[in-house]
Amino acid sequence: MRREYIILFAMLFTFCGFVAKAQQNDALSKDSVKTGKDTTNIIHEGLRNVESRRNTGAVFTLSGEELTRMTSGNLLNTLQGRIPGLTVVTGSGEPGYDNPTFYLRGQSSWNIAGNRVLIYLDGFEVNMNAISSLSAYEIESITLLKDASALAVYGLEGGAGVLAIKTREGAIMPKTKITLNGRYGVQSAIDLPTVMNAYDYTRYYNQALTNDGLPIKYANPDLYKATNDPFHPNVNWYDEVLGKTSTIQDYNLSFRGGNPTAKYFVLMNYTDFTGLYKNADAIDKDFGTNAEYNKFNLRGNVELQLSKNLSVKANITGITEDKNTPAGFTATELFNGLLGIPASAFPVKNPNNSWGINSVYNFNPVQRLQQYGVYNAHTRNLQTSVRFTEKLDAFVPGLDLSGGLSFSNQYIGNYIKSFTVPAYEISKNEQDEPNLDTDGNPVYITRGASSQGISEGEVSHWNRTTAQLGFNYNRTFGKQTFSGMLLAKKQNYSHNGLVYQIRTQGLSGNFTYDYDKKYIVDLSASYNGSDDFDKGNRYGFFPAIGLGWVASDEDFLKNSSVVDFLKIRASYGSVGNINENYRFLYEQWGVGAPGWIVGTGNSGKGGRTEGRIANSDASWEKKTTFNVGIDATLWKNLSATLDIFSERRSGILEIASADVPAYTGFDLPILNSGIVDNKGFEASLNYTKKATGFEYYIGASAAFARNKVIERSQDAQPYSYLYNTGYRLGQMRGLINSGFYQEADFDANGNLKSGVASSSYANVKPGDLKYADQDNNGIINDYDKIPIDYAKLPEVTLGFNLGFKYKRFDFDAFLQSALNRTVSLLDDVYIYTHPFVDNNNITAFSANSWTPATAQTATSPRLSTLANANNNQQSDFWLRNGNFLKLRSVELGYTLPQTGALKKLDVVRLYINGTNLLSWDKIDDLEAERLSMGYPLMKVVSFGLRMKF
Amino acid sequence: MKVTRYIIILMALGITLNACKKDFLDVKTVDADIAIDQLYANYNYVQGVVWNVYSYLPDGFNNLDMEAATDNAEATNVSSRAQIFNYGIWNQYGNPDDVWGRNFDGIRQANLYLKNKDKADINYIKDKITSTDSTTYFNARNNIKFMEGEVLFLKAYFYFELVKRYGGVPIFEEPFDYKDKEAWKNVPRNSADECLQYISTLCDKAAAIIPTNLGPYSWYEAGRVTNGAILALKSRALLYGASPLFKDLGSTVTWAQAAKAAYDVIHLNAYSLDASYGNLYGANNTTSPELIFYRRYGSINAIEYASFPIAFENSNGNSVTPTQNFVDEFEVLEKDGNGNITGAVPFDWNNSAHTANPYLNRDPRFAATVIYNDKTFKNSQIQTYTGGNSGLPKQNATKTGYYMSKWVNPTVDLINDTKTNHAWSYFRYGEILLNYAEAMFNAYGAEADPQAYGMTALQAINKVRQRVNMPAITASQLNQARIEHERNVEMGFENQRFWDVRRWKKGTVYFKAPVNRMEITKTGTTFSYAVKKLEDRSYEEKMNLYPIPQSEITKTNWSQNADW
Repeated sequence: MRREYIILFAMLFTFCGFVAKAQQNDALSKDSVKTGKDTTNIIHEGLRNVESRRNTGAVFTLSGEELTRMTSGNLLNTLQGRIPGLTVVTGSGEPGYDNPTFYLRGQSSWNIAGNRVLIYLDGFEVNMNAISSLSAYEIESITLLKDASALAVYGLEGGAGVLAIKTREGAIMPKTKITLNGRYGVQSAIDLPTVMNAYDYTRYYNQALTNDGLPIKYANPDLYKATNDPFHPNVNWYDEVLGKTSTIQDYNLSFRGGNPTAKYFVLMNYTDFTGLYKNADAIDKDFGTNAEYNKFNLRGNVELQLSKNLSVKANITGITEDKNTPAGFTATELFNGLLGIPASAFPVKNPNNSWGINSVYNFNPVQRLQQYGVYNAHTRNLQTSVRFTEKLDAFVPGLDLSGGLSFSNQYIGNYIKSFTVPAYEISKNEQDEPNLDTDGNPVYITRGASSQGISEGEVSHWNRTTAQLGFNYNRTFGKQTFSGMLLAKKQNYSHNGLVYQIRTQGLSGNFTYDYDKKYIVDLSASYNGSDDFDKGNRYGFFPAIGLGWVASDEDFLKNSSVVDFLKIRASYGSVGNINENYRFLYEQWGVGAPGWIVGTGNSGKGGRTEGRIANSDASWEKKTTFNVGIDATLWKNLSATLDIFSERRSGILEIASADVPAYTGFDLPILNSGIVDNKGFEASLNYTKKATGFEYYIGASAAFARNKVIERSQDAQPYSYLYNTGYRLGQMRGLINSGFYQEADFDANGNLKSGVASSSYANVKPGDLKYADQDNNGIINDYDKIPIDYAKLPEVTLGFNLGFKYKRFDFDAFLQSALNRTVSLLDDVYIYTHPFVDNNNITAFSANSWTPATAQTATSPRLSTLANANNNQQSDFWLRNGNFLKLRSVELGYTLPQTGALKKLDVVRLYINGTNLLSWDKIDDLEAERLSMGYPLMKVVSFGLRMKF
Repeated sequence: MKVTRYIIILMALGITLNACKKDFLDVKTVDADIAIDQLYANYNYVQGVVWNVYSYLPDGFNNLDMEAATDNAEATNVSSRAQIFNYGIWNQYGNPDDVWGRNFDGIRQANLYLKNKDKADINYIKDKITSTDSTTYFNARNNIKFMEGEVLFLKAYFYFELVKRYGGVPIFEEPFDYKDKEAWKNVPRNSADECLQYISTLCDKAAAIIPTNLGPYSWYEAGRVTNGAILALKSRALLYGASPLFKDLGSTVTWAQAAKAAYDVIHLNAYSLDASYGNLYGANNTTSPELIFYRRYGSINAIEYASFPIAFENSNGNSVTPTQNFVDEFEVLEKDGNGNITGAVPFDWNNSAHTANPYLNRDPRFAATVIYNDKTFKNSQIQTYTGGNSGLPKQNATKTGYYMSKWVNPTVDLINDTKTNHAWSYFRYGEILLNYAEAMFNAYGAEADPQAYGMTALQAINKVRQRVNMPAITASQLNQARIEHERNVEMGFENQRFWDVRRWKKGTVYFKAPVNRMEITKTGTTFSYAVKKLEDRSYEEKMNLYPIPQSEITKTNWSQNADW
């Protein structure tokens, strides 16, 4: 490490030397020293701030105001489609458990954690969870850093991109601005799956049994048409458990102001968000609860000018969240139950008012909801950062020293009150009628027992501390401007389940030069290291260069009536990516291993063995990016940005077994041997027209990223299409369906005729899925699975935005679309698409299943109660076009005239907002993003009020 | 004032960059894990290393389903891996019994131990001796010594697992060094004969280390390798080596050598047939004088969940059920008027006395292996007739009309999830006698004993029959078919059939024929029985050996086994 410090200081002194020299060279332009506070066009990029005109990197900034367009309990979900190049994969809709996943320019590593976008809040790294609970009203801007030029200062942490978030700050203004926002919304579920009623379930079940050559189970399905027969129930579990709507409310109050010595922004926020469960506390609120999420946010951003040269800034936010969910189930269990328990299985309550149950399902959703207790999770979030800036103009004009400390942590604890009570199954005979005791009452079988319990503990915690110290320099000499920074950074991160803290430290710097604001050179680099690697391999140097040319300032364009601004940018460089899941790969230890049971007492003896073979050269994954961009303003009103990129992720960690015979018996090391290429573009266009009393804007953005595996270790395959190499990450693969096996394919004995490909998965029957035999060997097996369409992660994201202001009205709408996306109904919605097997329910998917009569028109395989491995292979039968278009937000506002009592108020605006109101996709009956599995996604209609005074 | 501030700033700078004396990135300042040399030096760790080598022995109960890939049984679950064999759709790209890697992993673990065995340090025990009692030290010293024998045996076992499947495989004396790529890159296969000889040599070395009498070493836990286990492995290996399949592969092992190897176990006089055949599969089988080497599973009930007739709640339908082909193997006892056994004849579907009551008077091993219609099991009448409590068309009911009772402990209660001890037998004395009978018969005939072993082939086979009170056979009755029959009724569902049929090269006879089921119709109180075809089976001559996994062929450029 000493060597690293020497380099560090050498760099520092070189920098100082350069500064000193510059100072000597230019004694004239003292008054042209910039104050660095020209905030109008500064892009906040986390570790550095860049004047937008001098920016050479691929970045996209979204203003905080855009985020308020969506009503969501989770800030992260308001980013859907708003930032070209940021793929947001929607998570669950469950209150408080609804984080999405972010990808920068799609995916470039098969190690999922290697695609984790870094999040910076006010210049310091924080966890994703720290952002999800922030209020949209405290956000000033969100900037996505996409290329090497923007990311090089993040060094070995920047490989998957950075989302730099800046919160609102105070400003010098004559009086304190007080803003009050409130909104109240009504949510409802989007596209719950359609299940069949009890009559259809029972008659189709009988049909399935007949197909299997088994006797029918339901003597008379007609009995299930009755509406109120506890012995032949017809329960729609969705209706029993879910209400139609739930509410979301969000209120905040903020103060913003300042004078030359102190500036401040203070925000208080309360959010309350309830789930869809109904009558949860019908018995008692101790026994059941709706899903409830509420949080309080407090933020104080204060900046103090302590003296002429020294200023101190403190950003402090504290958030507490309370999440209540029923203790009887997880949301996934519950929604699988609602979908999977047949309408005919058992009544909610038996005739004697006890809970109904059935040993096969053993899950009465209503009982669980109302009787099984409360799961409470309490989250405390604290993020603080303190930063000082000391101007060193006295020594070197334009130079300042700044440093800061940040603590960011979260603790989630839980408190579970759980109860169980027995439920009672009605014993039935072979005629599907209840067995009666001598008194004529139904015979009940007791299932489960009573219990109560309480437990509490930690769910998770994390803590991140960062220290930064560095110099900034910015000075103009005539037509030339020099700016730069040098930053030393140390970071320490720990969380539950982690033995050794994750630590990084190093130096980052950049140097930007422009001539006449026309020709721009930006050099940036970092030299930083991580404790994940062996001594000697810890530190890496990550340089990048960016070039910019403001062509519109050239004589030939200066007077153009079309081109108002045109900048051409290019950048090239590399960054790294460390991955929490692959640490200390350079070490090999003796580890625990399976053992043997010996002795008359059968005592298990643990084994030991050599752990995974060390890879002393283990390193980070590296990403090298080339980016070309154009920023333009045309015809005054049209602004456009285009970025085209080509990047290569190399050194992707994998177990490279392809060249190592298994007879060696090695526990193979993890090597940096994979390569993935990723190419694409982002474009955005915005047209704004202002006229008196009327103003409108229309915008569109598109992002495209296509990756391709160049090198990935894989054992020998008989056919080239079986290799991963050459295809995208997560490429869908499957058999090609060629209809159903028909009766004509079988001989009189029920055996397949010769010439008809047989299945290696099961003995097929008429009505099973038939597949193309790619290798023509007469057997359908895994070698007939070919790449099909795309991956689940979309390659294309589109955004459309339009709005207007007319007199006192304003309107805004935003649509998002994802294209080149393929989803699998087999992987994601097995319960929905696989009736009866594993005691599944039957849904709308199977309404037109194969029978001899429907042989030509059937849309799903023959019904069967038995697992059918042949039909359960991935194939294009199960794959669906996953494209979708969603109206993410639409808002209509009206600003009241400042008359009468309102005169004292600056602004009073009322609005009605719709979030996720409409969507279009190609999948019948299911919502395209989450395929309607788990807690549903919600659409929201909300009413809001904004007052400023 | 101003100066002070700069001093503070500079101090802050210093603190940030050089906060602690130690390197900030050295998070692992204490070796909290076990270093590799410690693994082989520390006596406790070394013992763990040996236990780990044991863990690569086959998981017998998890391989019970492989019986359904023979004519003995059918898996109730259609997605059982056995069906891949039965359809004949396994190959070098996909083999549901692909244990290539597992056994070579075991061999590497064994070699790692053997390479480092001399590093074990027990001097600290010596240093602790305070009085004249040095028992602990001597025990440790002996334990260290025995470990080598155990590991040599285990290595031989892993090689045998490979050879019986793949024929010749490469022999490794040393564990490879990952860094020495040249050494491990292009290793040729050894011949099947070299492998068999090598297994024999390893057994000899191991047997020289583990004493025949472990009496004085009471600390040596039951379940570890014994001298008998080593000799039993050698007996089985040489029996295979002398068999037609391996002869074709160039094996130089003779039947006489195989007979000698079996005799060596008999000659130990350490084992005898258990008076109770059923005891071999029960909760107390590890105390049986017949068990030579076994794997303890402790208290479990997975077998019962899978195998209980489905009349019992929670039986999960993963049963492996005996076929009619297997049931027909069991002889019918002939009795005189007083109930005394007068003889035994093969079951005959053309014999109306047999068919009227097919489960009456069968070889006692039938009832110990098979649950059949109307048999009492767990105090219940098991009904496998059509419509019965455990018969078709109930879901997950047996497809064959039978359930397996071997290994299944009826005292287990699935509703209350109770468990009992189970131990899988790798070698038992009954097998040794049958190995001996087969080898002696092929070497010298039914009644010759030229080496004066004191037992002829006929005597050996009759000993096995006698234990279950089956009438002895005569010399003229003893032939290869009789041996095959006796091995199957004695050792059905013990993972022998799959391999025996292959080494005899009889797969196209036994495994290609359809398997049959029993359809029983109940009319009033009487049953009528009809044998129906259950399933066609697919088998080709090449399947006597497994194909080498294609991934290995690609990496080595070896030639594949014949016809694959």
